[in-house]
Amino acid sequence: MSHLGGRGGRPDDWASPHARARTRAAERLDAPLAPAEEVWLDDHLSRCPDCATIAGQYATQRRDLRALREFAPTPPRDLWARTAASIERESRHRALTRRGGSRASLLAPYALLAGALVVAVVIGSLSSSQLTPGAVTTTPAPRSASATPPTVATNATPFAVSAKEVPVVSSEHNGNYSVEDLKVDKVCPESEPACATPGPGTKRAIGPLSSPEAIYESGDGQLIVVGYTDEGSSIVVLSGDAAAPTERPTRSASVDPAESSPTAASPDDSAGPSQEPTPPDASPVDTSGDESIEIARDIEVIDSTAAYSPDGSAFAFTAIPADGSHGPDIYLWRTGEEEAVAITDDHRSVFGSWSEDDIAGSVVSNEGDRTEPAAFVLDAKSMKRSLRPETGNVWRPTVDPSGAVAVYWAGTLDKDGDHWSTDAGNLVLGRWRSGGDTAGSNASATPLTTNQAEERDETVIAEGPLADWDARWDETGTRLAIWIADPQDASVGRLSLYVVDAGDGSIDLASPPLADEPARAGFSIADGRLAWAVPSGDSGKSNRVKILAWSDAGFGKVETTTGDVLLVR
Amino acid sequence: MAGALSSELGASRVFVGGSAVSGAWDRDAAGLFVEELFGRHHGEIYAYLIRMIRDPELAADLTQDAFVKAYRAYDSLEKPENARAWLYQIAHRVALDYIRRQKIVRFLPWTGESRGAVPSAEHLVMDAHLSGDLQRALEKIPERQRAALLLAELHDLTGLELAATLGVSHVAARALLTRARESLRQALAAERVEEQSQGLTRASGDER
Repeated sequence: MSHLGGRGGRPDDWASPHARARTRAAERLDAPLAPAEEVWLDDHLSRCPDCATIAGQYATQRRDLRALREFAPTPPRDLWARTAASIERESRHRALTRRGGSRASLLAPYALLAGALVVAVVIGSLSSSQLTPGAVTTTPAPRSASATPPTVATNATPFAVSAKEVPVVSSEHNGNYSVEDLKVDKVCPESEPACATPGPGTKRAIGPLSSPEAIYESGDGQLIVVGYTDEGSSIVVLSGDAAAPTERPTRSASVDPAESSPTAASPDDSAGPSQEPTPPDASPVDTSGDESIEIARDIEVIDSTAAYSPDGSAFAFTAIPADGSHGPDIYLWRTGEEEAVAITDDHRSVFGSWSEDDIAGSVVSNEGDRTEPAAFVLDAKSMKRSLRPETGNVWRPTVDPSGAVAVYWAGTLDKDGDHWSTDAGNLVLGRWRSGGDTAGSNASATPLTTNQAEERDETVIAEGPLADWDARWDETGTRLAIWIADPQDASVGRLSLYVVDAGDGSIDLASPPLADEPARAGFSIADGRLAWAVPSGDSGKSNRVKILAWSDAGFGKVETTTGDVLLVR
Repeated sequence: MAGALSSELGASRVFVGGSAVSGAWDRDAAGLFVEELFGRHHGEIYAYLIRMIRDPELAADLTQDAFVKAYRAYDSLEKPENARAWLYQIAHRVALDYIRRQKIVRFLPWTGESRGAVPSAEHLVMDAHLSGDLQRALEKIPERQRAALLLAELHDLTGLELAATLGVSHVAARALLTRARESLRQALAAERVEEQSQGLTRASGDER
């Protein structure tokens, strides 16, 4: 485009009288010119056919553009509903952050990530321990010598890692979603992070989703989508081959009196359910093909700890009623069941992780003003819950695949309504298995009598209070990824990857392969890969997925840019 | 919850115009304010974004985005009487951000066309009101100039409102608009030359 020519208030500022005339002709469409300039322009146009033609073209353009006023596009009918939902989420987020993290740990991760133009989700495969079904064993995963942290490759060319895929869920603007498996078979050293990119993978459509906020995969193609509705969270299961009916769990796990300890952390069993649970239909639900079923609604999923069981047959999460009438309970859904059911009824229990076939959780004391948490193990088949008083004050334990150690909050909690958030304490890696205990069972349910940090060999990972965190192990138990929420905005945070010693379970905090990398809530770690979304700044959006992969050659990164928004889970 | 918010806001639809908006961020006031703002202006904001982006579904997403940003930035509006221009400014930035991202990302190249394989009804109606060459010419001029033209000619923003929306001075806004008219004129001329050239090529091919 050429410029109109010099501009100025004085006639002699112009490059030529024609430039002056054309500029004035354009300007006159927007506002009257000074009288003298009007006279000059009319005179010039009357004597200059070219300038008059251009002035006419300006006028024609204006007429054509203004004709568009007749076209009044009709906004979608649900535009306000969508907008109001996003505003409500924003409102709740602001409320959380204003309270300095209070409640943020309970609500934020699922409450902030909607209204997306394009959503891509790196699926958090399997459970917190990220075991693939084929890798599940009844004995702790061996910790081989390969767990020794390899050195970072120094050459500036891509190096190979085992070819694995990172599933990404993306949304198109027609509301349909699809899963794409990004192929990652080579990564780049830190010195040249752009030397390679993930290869595009096959896509499979999964249909429309409603404001997805987290997506989990069972390992056999079955997806669980935690979305947001006007009534709270909605959990939908999308197709899958593992739809075989399984034994339905009974609600309201009770604490085994023989296993209960007299500590203040014991659940108050008098605070039973206010009503009998509604038993789900005994008939199995066909989740094959393109079917989707909603397994939970009228609840609000909280915390970042929802996970499939290691064998992919069950999905556990923590939720509160959408009306906020009481505190959190652990819910369980088994493939083939019609709906998820609450398996605790004290309204003070939260899911931590799977520990083989058991659920590791925690419960808060309701004795007086004490807000000390305690850990328990809940047999997902018998629904028998056994307290673990010997672990001390433990909140949201994420147990490693071997059951030897766990990441948990060690400290007190702050009560805010029916929720709890961290107060004084630390996020630590501590001993989970007790002496003589081979698989995390309750072989030594003796309350702590000495200093918890010493007795449990705790290593402080982050000092509290924390708005939220998400800790996940890889299938070997030698890589531990921990995301810690930003205290001001719990939808974003910092992600680190640590190497845990195969022998003594100690964690190398000094030289993590990934340290405090900005990341949105949700990430996946499996198959020698850690994938996360890089925050882009606002609106819960991101447009980059980063993947850190490791092999004997070392650690390397690769990243890809997809749509406007990326969420990683 | 959205429903709760809607009913809560619907119970008292009070526009805050005339009173100071700025100050400590207040959830309820911000909610009421944005709902009122939505009721008044969502149609024109959607229209502006659809004209900028030419993708109805995306325009809806961006409209939603703009109102959420307005909610978030509620306390940044100093004068309620400037709410419309302020909202346009937010929508304008949302649109430009999107366009820039598309240019950087190169994932979905900005073509000005809907990414759907089948044009939507909105798109067809819009196209019927806009000649092909004018449409292509508009897409070829710089986004800020395109925005200035659309805002001035289709959305009746005053000079001051246009300046506020574009984040420039009144004088600069006028200059931008003037440049936009000239850019569009030249782009349109180029389109017509190209059309003629293609017509000649086709005619030549037919003769052979």
